[in-house]
Amino acid sequence: MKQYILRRVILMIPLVFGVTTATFALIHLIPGDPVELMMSNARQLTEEEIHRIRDKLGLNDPLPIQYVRYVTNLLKGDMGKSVRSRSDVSYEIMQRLPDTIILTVTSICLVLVLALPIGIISALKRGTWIDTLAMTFALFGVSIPAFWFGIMLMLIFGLHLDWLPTVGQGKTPIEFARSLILPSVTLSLILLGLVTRVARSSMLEVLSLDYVRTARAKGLGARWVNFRHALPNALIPILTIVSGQFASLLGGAVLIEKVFGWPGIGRLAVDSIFARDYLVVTNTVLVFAIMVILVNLANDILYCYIDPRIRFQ
Amino acid sequence: MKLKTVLIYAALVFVLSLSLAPAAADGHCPQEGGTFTIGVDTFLPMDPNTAAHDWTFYAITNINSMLFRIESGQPVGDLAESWDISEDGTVYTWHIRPGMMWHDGNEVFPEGESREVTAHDVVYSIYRQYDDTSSIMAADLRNLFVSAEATDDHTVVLTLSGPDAIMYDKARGLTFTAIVAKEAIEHYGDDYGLNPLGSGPFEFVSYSPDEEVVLRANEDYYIDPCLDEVIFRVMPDVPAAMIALEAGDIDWWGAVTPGDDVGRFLENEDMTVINFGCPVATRLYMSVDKPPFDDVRFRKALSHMKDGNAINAALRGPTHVKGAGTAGPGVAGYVEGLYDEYHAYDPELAMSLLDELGIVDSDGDGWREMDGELLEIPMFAWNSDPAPDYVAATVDAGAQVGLKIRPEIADPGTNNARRNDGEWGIYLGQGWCGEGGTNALWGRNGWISTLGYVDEEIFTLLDQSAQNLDEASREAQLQAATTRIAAIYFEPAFGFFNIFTVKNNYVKDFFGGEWTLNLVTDDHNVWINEDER
Amino acid sequence: MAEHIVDLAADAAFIELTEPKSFFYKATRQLLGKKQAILGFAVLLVLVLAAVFAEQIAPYDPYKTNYANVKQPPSAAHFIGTDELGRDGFSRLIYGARISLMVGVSVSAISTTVGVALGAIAGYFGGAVDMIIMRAVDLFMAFPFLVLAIALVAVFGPSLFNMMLALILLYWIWFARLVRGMVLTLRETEFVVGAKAAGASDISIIFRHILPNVFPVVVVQGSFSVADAILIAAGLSYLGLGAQPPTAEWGSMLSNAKELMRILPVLSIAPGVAIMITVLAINFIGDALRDALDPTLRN
Repeated sequence: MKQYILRRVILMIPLVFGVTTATFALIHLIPGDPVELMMSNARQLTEEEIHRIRDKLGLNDPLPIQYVRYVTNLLKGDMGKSVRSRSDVSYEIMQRLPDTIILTVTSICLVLVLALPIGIISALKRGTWIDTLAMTFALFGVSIPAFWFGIMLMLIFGLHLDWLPTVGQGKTPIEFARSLILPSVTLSLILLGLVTRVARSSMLEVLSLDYVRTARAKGLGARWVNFRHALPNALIPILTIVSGQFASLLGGAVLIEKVFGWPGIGRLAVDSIFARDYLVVTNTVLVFAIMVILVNLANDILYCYIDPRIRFQ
Repeated sequence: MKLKTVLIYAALVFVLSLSLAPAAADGHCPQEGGTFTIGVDTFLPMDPNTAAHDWTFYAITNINSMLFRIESGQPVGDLAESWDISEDGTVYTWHIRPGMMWHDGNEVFPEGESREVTAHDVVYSIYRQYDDTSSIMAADLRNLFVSAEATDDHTVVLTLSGPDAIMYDKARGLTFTAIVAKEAIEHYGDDYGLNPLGSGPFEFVSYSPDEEVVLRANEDYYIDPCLDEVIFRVMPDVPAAMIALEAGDIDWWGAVTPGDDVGRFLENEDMTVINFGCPVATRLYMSVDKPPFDDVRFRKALSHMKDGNAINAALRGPTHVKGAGTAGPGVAGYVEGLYDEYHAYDPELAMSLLDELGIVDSDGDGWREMDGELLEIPMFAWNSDPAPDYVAATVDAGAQVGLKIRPEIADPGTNNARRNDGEWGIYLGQGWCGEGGTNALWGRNGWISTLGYVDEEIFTLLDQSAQNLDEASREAQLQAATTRIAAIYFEPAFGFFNIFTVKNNYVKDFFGGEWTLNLVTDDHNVWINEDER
Repeated sequence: MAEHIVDLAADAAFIELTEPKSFFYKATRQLLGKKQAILGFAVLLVLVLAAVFAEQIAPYDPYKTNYANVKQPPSAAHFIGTDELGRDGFSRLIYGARISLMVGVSVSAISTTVGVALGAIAGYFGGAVDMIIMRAVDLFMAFPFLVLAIALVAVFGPSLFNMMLALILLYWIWFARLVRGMVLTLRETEFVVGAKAAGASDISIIFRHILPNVFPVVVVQGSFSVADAILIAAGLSYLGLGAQPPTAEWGSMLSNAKELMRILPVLSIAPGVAIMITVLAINFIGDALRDALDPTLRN
C-alpha cells in the first residue's frame, strides 16, 4: 500500500512539472510586451524606461533562466504581483481559494444527496413512469446551460419571491449560508444529470449480479437485499465518477462564480483577463490544475483502499 | 437602554439638531455609531500616486487628510486650516492645522506613539507625486510646479511658475495630493496601497481585494465622527448592486447609477438621487491624421449618419442630456447649440458627403468602397455596459448609409495601447467632466493627441485659460476652445449623461462625493438613523 | 463538461466487432423506431432550417435599431419583446441559432477528424507519436476544461473565431484518447493480426478494419460533443470571451439581458430556452445513436 501511494506521488511529479511548464508557456504566449501590458494604463514609456523595467523584472534574461526562476519562486510561494491590485498574486489567490472550495464541496454534497436516491430508485423501479421521469430529469440536467439555470433561479428566488440574496456573499454565518444556496444548487446541476445516470446504471449492473440474485432466491426481502448487498457495491463506481468529475465542477465554478458574484478564484481569473492581469490568470489556472491533480491522487489512494486489486496493476 | 428611551432620546436629539443645524459637526451626533456601507463597482489599492479612480479616492480622502476638500465645487479647509494666495496667483501659503495626528495602533505607529502631521509631511507628499513621473498628478499642475517648501512646522509655501486656474477643479490640480507619512511609505514600500495610513477621520482596518475595504472612526480626529465604521463593498455586478441598494444592504451606491435605475429611484421616497452636476460626454474619437478620417467631410458623415441624441436617450434614460462639446451644461466652457449645429441626425447629408469623397458602393454589395477596396472601419470599444450598445448602434447606423463598421471589443488596457499607437479606426470614448477634463483630453500632450488631435490654437486657448484667474475672460477662452474643437475635429457626439448616485434616506447629513468624499468636515458629519433603517 | 466523452472512453474497450454494413442497416432501423430520436431530429431540422433561412424567417433585421420602440414587452409584433436598442428579440434569437449550430458542428467536426486521425496513428503505430499524444492528454486532463478554454481565449484574445479555435484545440485531445484506446484493443484482434499476416498494408488495415469499427463510437461521441460545445460556447460568450457585440448569439444575448432582468425577464428566459432545446434535441439524437450503435448498451 505504502509503496503504491509512493509510486503515485512520484508519478505526480512529472505532471506537476508539465503543468508549470504549460503555465509558464502561457505567460510567454500572450501577445504583446509584458511591460507595455503592465503599464498601458499609465502614460507612454520611453524605450529606456521599458528596458529598465524589463531588467528589473528579469525579462531580458534567456527563457531557461526565467523558467528556473519562475519555478523557484513558485516553490517559495511567490507568484509575482498583480497588475490590477498590486498585491501578491499568491495572496489574491489564497484569499479566494476557500470560497471556491466551499462552493464546489457544497455542490458535490448536493449532487450526492440528490442524484443518488433518484438514480437508485429509478433503477429499482426500472421501466416504470418513475424511471422515465428520473431519466428525463437527468437528460435535462445535462442539457440546461448551468449559468442560465442560475440566472433563472436568481429571477425566481431572488427577484420574484425575494427569498434569497441574488448575488455576492453574506458576511454573517447565516447570511453566508443563504448566499451559498443558489450558486451551489446551480453548480450541482453540472454533475446532477451525469451522476443520476451513473447511479442508475451501476445499480442496475449490481442488481443483475449473481450474488444479489442468489440472495433474492434465498428468500431474503427485496428491500434488505437492495440496501445490504446491492447499494454498497453500486456506490464505488459512483464515487469514482464524482471525484473524476471534480475538474468539470471546478471549470463550471468559473462561470457560476461570475454569474453570482461569488468571490472565488474562478471569478478572479475572468476579471483578471479583462484587466489584462495575466499573471493572475495563469497562476489561477495553475492552482486549478494542482487542485485537480491532488483530488485525482486522493481518489486513486482512496480507490486503492476500497479495491486492493488496483495495487498490483 | 430601553428602546423607548432610545427613541425619545433620538427624537429629542433630532429636534435639537434640526434647530441647530448644521451644528452636528461639534461632535454632537444625533445618533452615534453604526456602519455606513458604500457600494462601488471596482476598487484599487489606496496609494494616491496610482489610484486614478474615483471610488478608490473616496476611501483615500477619508483615510488621509487633504490640504483642502471640495464642497459644492468650492475648496474648504482640511489639513490646511486656511491659505493665502499671492496677488499674481503663483505663491500659495498653506497654514497647517495644528494637533493633527497620524493614525496609531498599526505597524508604523504603535498605539499612543503617533506624531503630529507637519508641513514637512505635506512637502514630502507633494514631491512624492511630483518625482514619480508616472503618478497621476495633473499635467497642468506638474507643468506649473516650481517648488514646495516648509517654512516652519505649520506652513507650506507652494510656488508655481504661473497662476493655476484649475487648482481646485475636481479631479485636477491638488485634489490628487493626499497627505501621506514618510514612515508608512518606507515601511510598506510597494505594498503601501494595501496598508494605507493617514490622519483623516477614518482609520484603515482591512482590505480584501474585490470584496471590501473596512475603515473605522479615528477617535483622535479633531472632529468626532458620528459613524463607527465605513465599509466599501465591491459589487461588480451593477444590476445586483441596485437590488442590494434597494434592500438596504448597501447604504449608498458610490459609483455611477445606470439610467433606468435612476428613474426608478427617483420615484422611491426612501431614496435620494444625488446629481454630481457634471455631465459626461460620450463620443467617438478617430485617428484624424490618417485617411479617410483626415478629411473633415468624412468625420462629418460619421456624425450625421447616426441619431446620437436618440441613441443616448435610449441608453441613458433619465440621465441623458442633449448636447455636444467637451463641457456639458453647467460646466465652464459649455457652448449651447453645438449638437444641433454639428451632429444632428441627417443620413442623407452623410451619404452625400461620402459620395463627394468618392467613397461609394461601386460593386453593388451594399457597402461602400474607398479606392476600389471595401472600406471596413474598426471600432474600438470595451465590453461593459453600455459600451456594447453604443457599438451596436454605431454599426447599425453605418449599415444604413453603407459604411461597414467592424467592432473590435477589447479590455480598456488594449484600447489604451491602441490609442497610444494611434491605430487606424474609431474609438468609443467617454470624456472627463469639468474644465480640467477638457485640458486632459485636448490640451498639449492630452489624452487623445496620439490620434492626431494636434492644433496649436486650441492648445494656446487651453493653456491661457488654465492660467487665467479672471472668470469671464476664462469662460470666453474655454468656449472659444470648445467651439474650435467642434468645428475642426467634428468628433461624432452622442450627447451627455449626468452622473447620479443614490443613497438611502436613513443616511443623514450626506451630500455625495465629489472626488473627495467628505464624510466628516466642519459642516458635515454623516450619521445613520437606525430607526429609519 | 465534456463529461459524456470521459464517461464513454471506458466503454471503448468493450466494443464488440460486427460487420459494418448489416450493423448500420440495423442501427438505422432501430434509430427510426425511437420516438425520442424522431423528436430530436424534428427539432434539430427546424433549428437548422431556421438557421439557414434566418433572413427569410426572422420578422426583422436582428441588428436594426429602433429608438422609438425600446424595451417593449412581448407582443404580436415582437414575440419576445425588444431590447434596449429596440432590436427585435425574436429575430436575434433566430440568428443566434446560426452561430450556435455553426460553432457546435464545426468545433465537433474538426476536432473529431483531427482526434480520430491522430488517435488512430498513436494507437496503431505506438512509439514516439503515441508518447507525445498521451503526455499531452495527461497534461490537458489535469486542467479543468473550461478553465483551460478561458486561459486560451485570454491568450488569443476574445473573439468568436478564437473561442472556436480554443475549443478545437481542447476537444481533439478527447477524441484522440478515445480512439487510441479502441485502436489498441483492435490491433490485437484476430482479424487485424490475420490481415497483417496476409500481408495487408498498414494503411489498408487502418481504413478497412480499424476505422469502420471505431466509427460508431466516434459518431455517438461526436454528436454529444456538438451539444457540449454549444453549451460551453454559450458560457464563454456570456463571459464576454466568445461572440462579441453586437453579434446575435445566445450567450451574449443572455449577458446583455441581465441589465433588463427586472423589467423584461423574457429576454433572459428565451435564449436559455433556445440553448436548452437545441442541446436536448442533439442529446436525444446522441442517446438514440448510442443505443443503436453501441453494442454494449444494447439489451
